[in-house]
Amino acid sequence: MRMGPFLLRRLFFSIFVLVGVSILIFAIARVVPGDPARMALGPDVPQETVDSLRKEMHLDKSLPVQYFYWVRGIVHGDFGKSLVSYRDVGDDIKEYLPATLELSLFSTIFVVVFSITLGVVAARYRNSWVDNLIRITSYVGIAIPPFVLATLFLLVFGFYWPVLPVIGRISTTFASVHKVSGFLLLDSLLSGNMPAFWDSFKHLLAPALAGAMGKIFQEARITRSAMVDNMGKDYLAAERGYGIPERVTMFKYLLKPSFIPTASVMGLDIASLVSNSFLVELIFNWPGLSRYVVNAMLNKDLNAISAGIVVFSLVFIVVNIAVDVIVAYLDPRIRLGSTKES
Amino acid sequence: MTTLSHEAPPSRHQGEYRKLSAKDILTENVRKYWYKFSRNKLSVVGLGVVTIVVLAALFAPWVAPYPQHASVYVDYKNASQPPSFRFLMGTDIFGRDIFSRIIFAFRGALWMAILVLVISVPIGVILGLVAGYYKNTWIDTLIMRLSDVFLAIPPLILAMAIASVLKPNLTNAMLAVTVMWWPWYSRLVYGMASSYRNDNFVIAAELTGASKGHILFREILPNCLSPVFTKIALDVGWVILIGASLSFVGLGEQPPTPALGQMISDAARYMPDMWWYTVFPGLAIAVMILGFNLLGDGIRDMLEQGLS
Amino acid sequence: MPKESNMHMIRRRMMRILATTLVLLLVGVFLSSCSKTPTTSMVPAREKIIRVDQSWPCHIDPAVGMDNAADIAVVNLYDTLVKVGDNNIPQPEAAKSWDYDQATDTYTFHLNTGIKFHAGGELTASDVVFSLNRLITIGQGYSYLFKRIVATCKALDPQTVQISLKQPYGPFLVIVPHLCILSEKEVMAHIKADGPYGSFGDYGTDWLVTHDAGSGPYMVKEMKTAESLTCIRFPDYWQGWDPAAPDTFQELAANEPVTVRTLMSRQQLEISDEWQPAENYTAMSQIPGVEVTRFLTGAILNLSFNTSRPPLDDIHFRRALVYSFDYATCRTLFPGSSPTNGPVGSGLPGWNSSSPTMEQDMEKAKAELKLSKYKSDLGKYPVEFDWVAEVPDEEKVALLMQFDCAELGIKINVVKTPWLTAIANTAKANTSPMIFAQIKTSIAYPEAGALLENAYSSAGIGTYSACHWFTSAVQSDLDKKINDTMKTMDPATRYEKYKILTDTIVNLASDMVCCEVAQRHAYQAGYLDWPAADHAKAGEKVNVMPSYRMYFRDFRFITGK
Repeated sequence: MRMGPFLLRRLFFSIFVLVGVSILIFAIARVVPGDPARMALGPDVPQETVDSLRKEMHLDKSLPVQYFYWVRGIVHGDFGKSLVSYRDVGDDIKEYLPATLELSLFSTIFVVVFSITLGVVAARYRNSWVDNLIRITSYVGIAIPPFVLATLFLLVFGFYWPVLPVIGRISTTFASVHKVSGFLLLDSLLSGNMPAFWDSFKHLLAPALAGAMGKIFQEARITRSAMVDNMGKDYLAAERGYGIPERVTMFKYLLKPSFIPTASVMGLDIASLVSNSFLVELIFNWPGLSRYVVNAMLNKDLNAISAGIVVFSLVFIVVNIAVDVIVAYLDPRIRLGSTKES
Repeated sequence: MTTLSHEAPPSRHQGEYRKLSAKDILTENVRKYWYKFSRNKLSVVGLGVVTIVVLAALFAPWVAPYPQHASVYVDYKNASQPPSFRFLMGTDIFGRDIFSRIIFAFRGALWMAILVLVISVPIGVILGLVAGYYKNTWIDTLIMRLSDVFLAIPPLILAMAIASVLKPNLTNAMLAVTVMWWPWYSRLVYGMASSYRNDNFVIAAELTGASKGHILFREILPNCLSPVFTKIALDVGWVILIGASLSFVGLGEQPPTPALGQMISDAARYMPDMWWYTVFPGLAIAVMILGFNLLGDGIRDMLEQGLS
Repeated sequence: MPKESNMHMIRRRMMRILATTLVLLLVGVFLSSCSKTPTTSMVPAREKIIRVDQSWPCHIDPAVGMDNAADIAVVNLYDTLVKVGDNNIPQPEAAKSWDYDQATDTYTFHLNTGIKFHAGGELTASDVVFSLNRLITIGQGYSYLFKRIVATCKALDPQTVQISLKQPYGPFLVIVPHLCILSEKEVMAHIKADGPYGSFGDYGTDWLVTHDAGSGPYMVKEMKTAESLTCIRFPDYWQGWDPAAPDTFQELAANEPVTVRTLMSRQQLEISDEWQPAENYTAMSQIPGVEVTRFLTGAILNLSFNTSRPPLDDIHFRRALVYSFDYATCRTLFPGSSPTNGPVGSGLPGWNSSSPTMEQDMEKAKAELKLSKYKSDLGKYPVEFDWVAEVPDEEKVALLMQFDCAELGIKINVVKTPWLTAIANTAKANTSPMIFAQIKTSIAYPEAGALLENAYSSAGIGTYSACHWFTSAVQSDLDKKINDTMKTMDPATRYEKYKILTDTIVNLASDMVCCEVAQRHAYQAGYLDWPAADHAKAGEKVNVMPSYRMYFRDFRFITGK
C-alpha cells in the first residue's frame, strides 16, 4: 500500500498551500488603511505610547520582515491582540474554537447518518413514491439557504413550538460546566452533570440541523444516483445469483463504491461546515469562532481576521486530507496507485 | 447529427434531390435537445421559474406595483402592514412594499450571478487549459498550487474577507466572489485537458505544426465545454446563494437598494409578529435557487453524451 | 460459504438491534424534553440573579472602559470618592467629607475607614492616588475628564487625599464618580513586566480585562469576553446588605431583539437594554409580568455634521438640512420622545427652556439652500449618513432624512456602520462621518456640560463625541466660551452660561437634534423592584447618569414571587 508516500506528498503540498494562504491573508490585512497601533490604544493616548507600541508591533519595519515576525508569533501561538475584546487573539480562539468544532461535528454526524440513509432508501425503493418524495424534498432542501432555514427554525422553535431552545449553547440557569475540552457535551459527561448534558444536547439540535439540512439532501441525491448507477453492474448480479440477501448486497458491496463520489463532496462540505457555520452561529447566538471572525471582519479587527482565517484554512486542509485518506481507503484503485493527482 | 449530403431522404418529390438545409439540422438538434431536457418534468418547471424571474427582473419597473419603493422612499404611516390586497406581501418597517422590493432584488442577484460567471469562468477555463496542456511542468504546478491556495480558504470566508476590507457595496461583493470562484473551473478543465492532451488528435495537431493557441482553443477546448456549461448552469444558483449570504451580513447592496439576504437579516429582528418580512424574501430566494438548480439539472441531462 | 452468511446474519442482526436502541434512545430524549415545560426555575425559590443584556464590548478596566456595559459593571464593582444621588447632587461614598480651597483650586477628601477590597486589604489614600495616576497615564476611558484639569494628586495621610487642579473646574465633584478606586497592591501583583508604561509594565491592563481590583458591593466571578460577565455579592461590603438585594448579576452580550424577547418571556432576563427597536418594546410589554419603563433624562438623538467636508462646510447648506427634516414623523418613530430645541435635553440642568423647538419648515430650507454655494452642484456633492449598526432604529431616521432631502435635490447615502468602526473613523477629519447619528445617552455628569464640553471643545477632537471638525476660528471661540463656563464655580451662574453656549451652537447649525429620546427598558416588574423605574412611574426625579440607575445593590426581589 502506497499510503505513506501519498500522505507525505499531500502534507508537503498542504504546507505549501498554508504558507500561500498566510501570505494572502497577511497582504489583505495590511492593505487596510489605518494605524493598527493607534486603533489598538484608542484616540486619547499620547503619541509616545503609540510610537512605542508601533515599535513593539514591528510596524516600522518593511512588510516581509513584518510577515516574518507575524509567522514566528503564530508558531509560538501569539496571534496578537484583538481590537474588540482587548485580549490575546489566541485566548479568544481557544475559547471559541471548541464551540464551533462541537457544532460542526454534530452537524457532520447528522449529514453522514441522514444522507446515507436517505440515499440508500431512495435507491432501494427507486422510482416508487418513497424515492419521489425524497427527490422532491431534496430539491427544496437544497434550494433553501442555510440562513433562511435557520431563521425559520428560530421562528418555529422560538415562538410557535418551543420544544427546542434556540439561543446559545446552554441555558443561563446552569452554572458553568467545568471546562476540560471546551466541548460541552464531553465536559458535562466527564463531570457527571447529566442535566447540563441533556441541556447542551438540546441546544445543539436546532443549529446543527439547520446547518446540515442542505448538505444532507445534496449528498443523499449523489449517493442515490451513484448507487443506481452501480446497481446494474455485473458483480452485483453475480452476488444476487449466489443468493446473498439484498440487504447485504446493498450495504456491504454496493455502498462502498457508490460512496466515493459522495465522500469527496461530503469531505468538502464537512471541511466548509466549520467556516460556513457563521450564518447559523449568528442567528442562534452560538458563541463560536465563525461568529467571532465575522464580527472581527465587520469591525476591521485585523489580528483576529488573520488568525481566524489561518485557523479555518488549517482545519479545511486537515479535514480534506483526512477525507482523501478515507476515500483512498474506500477505493483500492487510488491506493494501488493510479495517479489521479489532486 | 449529420447525414451525408448526397443521400437524399425519402421525400414526396420523387427524383428530386434535396439537401438538408441548415434550418433542418437546427430543428433536429433543437428537438433532440428539448427531448432530452424535458424528459424530466421538473427541469421544465425550473425553466418556467427562471423565465418568470428573469422577465420580472428585466421589466421590474413595470411589473412591480410600487416601483418607487425600491429606491428612496419612506412612509411610516403604512409601516409594518401585514399582507393585504393593497400590499401583496405586506410592508416593512419603513412602509415599503415588500413584493416590489423582492422583484427589484432579483435584479441585483441576477446581475451579480451573470457578472461573476462571465469574468471568473473564462479566467478559470483558460488557466485550466494551459495548466492541463503543460502538465507536469512548472506552469502546471504554479497554476494548480495557486488555485489550491484559493480553494484552501473556505469560500465564504474568503469572499467575506475581501468584501469587508473594501467598502461594502455590490461591486466589491462581486469582486470578492469572482476572485474565489475561478479555481473551481480551472480544476474542472485541468482534469479534462490533461487527459485530452495525450490523445491522438492533439498529437496530430502538434505534429502538423499547429500553434499553441489553435491547439488549446480549437482542439482541446471544444471537448471540455459540455461539463463547463453544465457547471455554469448549476453555479448560478450557488452564486446567488453566496450573494445572499454576503448581503445577509451587510456586505452587498447598500440600502435603499433591496437585496434578498439583507431583507431577511433585517427582518429577523421583528419576528414573529412581522412574519411576512422574513417568510416572503426567504421563499423568494428558495424559489429562485430551486428554479436555477432544476434548470441546471435539465441542462446537464441535455448535454450528456448518450442516454443514461 | 454458509458459515460466512450465518456470521453475516448474526452481525447484521446485532447492528440492527444496536441501531434501533440508539434511535429509541434519541426519540426518548426528545419526547422527554418536549414534555417538560420550557420555562425557568428548576429550583423552588427564585434565584436572586439580575440578568441584563447590553451591547458589547464590555471593558471592565475602569481606566479603559467607557461603554454602556462597562459603566454598569464598574459602578457595581468599584467604590468612588463621591457618588451622584437621585437629586443629581454629589454625595459621600468612599470619602465621608471634603473641603475646597478656592485660592489654590484644591480639594481635600477625608476617607471613610473600614472599606475592604475584594482581594483583601483596606482602602487608603495611596490607592486613590494610584488609581488616578493610572487613569491619566493609560489615557483611555474617562481619563479625558481628568487629564486636562488635574495638576497633582497626593496622599497626605492614609485617610486624606488632596487633588489640585490646574484651573477652577465647576463640575469637578460630579466627575469624581468616574475615578474608580483600585487596590494598588492587587493591580501591581498582576502586571506584566513588558508593557508600554515603563516600570508599571502593562499597568495590569491584561489582567483587568477579566478581573476586578475593587471594593464595591459586587465582585467578578467570571468574565467571558464577548459573551457574558457574571458578578457575585461581596459579603464584606462595608456598607452592608439587605437580604432581598440581588446575590448575582450578569451582563449578557445578547442584544438581538429576538433573543432578548425570548429570554424575557422565559424569565431568563430581568432587564433589557435601551437600544431595542420600538416594535420589540411593544411586544415585550405584552409578556405577563413585564413592564416597559421610561426615563426622560436629557438624552438626545443627535446628528453631528462634519463641518470640514463639503458640502457641509457651508453653513447655509447645513441650515437647509436642519430645516428640511420632518421632526414630527421622527418623534413617532421613537415612542415617548419629545421635541428638542438644542444640543441639550430638557432633563439636564443648564437646559435652555426659552429656545424655540425645532420643527420642519421646507420654505426656510429652500431659502437657505439658495444662499448656499453648492446650490447648483447638488448632484456632485452627496452627503453620507453613518448610522450605528447596533441601533436599528437609527436606520429609520436615516431613510426619513434621505426621503425629505430628495425633495430639495440633496442626495444622501445611507451607510450602516458598526460602533467600533464608527469610533475608529472619527479619529481623523477626512474619515470622520459626514453625518453621524448618535443617541447620546451616556451622560458623564449631571449637567449640560456633559453633552457640550467634550463634544464642542478642542479637547474632545478625535473622539466619537466631537466629530464636528470646526474651523480654527469657530473652534477657538467655542473653546473660550466653554472654558469660561466650566471655570464658573457657582452652579446657578454656570447653568446660565450653558444656555448662552447652546444658543451659539444652535446658530452654527453644526448638529441636527432630532428629538429627545426616552430611554426605555423592559423589565420583570412582576418579581423585581427597580427603584429608578418606580421613581419614573411616580413622576419623580430620576438619576440622570445611566449607570447609577443600575446600581444593583438597591434593587429588591419581591418575596414570594
